[in-house]
Amino acid sequence: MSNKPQTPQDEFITTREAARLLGVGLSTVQGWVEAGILPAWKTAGGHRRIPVASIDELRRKQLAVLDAAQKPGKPTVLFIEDDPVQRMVYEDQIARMAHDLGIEINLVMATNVFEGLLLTGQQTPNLIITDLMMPGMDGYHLIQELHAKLKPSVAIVVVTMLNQDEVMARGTIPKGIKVLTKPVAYEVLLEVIRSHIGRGTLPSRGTP
Amino acid sequence: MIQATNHDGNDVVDWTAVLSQFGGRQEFVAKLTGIALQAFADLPEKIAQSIVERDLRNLGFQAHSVKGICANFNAPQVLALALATEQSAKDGNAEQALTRGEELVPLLRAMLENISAWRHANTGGQ
Repeated sequence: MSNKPQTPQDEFITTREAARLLGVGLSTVQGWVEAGILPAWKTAGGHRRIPVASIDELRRKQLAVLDAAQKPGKPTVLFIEDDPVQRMVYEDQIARMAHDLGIEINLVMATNVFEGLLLTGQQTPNLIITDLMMPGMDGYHLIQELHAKLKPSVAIVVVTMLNQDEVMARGTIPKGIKVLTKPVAYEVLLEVIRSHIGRGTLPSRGTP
Repeated sequence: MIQATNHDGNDVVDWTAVLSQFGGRQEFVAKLTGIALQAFADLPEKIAQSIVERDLRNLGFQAHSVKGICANFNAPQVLALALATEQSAKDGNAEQALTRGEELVPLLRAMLENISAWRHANTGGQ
């Protein structure tokens, strides 16, 4: 964390204000500061101060990603996955699924936990499918925060290369969150989509 | 020079399984190979660096990334070794993790070479 810069005091905000503006938890902003994702300095009393400009930049990023993906009125699925090959597989699966089901699905991709939290601060998806082991902040932190913030309106599904024992040994997954092991077959993902988004609007199993 | 085949002379990647996983869509698999080669080209060197630095945290994470590659490019030998490396690193068993990591590096290189060779053979090198 840097020393106080030589700029006016009113161009900086507290971590609490930053969390409110970005729509994420206080601990998340604190984590981003500690990780160097958000620049900040500390007051003599040890309180963090964050440049407004860096918050504005993050908000612009939130809106840009969402503008690119948004189709109003359609169910939104947010994938949080750092592996670009896996993201391509998800894109393909969702495109086929939309075709097979005759629906449109907003597909939003976050490449890390930071982006995932940022995006959910701006828009609430119908379903979040997330990896667990990602660089920087891991998926456990993400799940805890999203579960607390979005419960019970948003379903969260974990897709990981860890087995069930490893998942439980490395952290806590709140009850009710489904954990799937990679690779996830198309049919399995289809069932997840059917059961978690557009209840009553998607064709049921077996519908031609 | 590590060959893109295992000791039986077979491909490191089980391409039959990969194609089956993606419904026989060779063109789509070719796209994935392109992304994988671009994204993971430097992973063997990163793992080697973690071994030199005896950085178990990074080594464990990188081994986990290798497991992720194997989710879409079925490579049982690589998966098993990546799993063992990650587990040893997580357990704090440094010597075992480093030894397994040293074995993982050439095998991962062979896997990437195999992916590259498959891509060349199936896309005309494009």
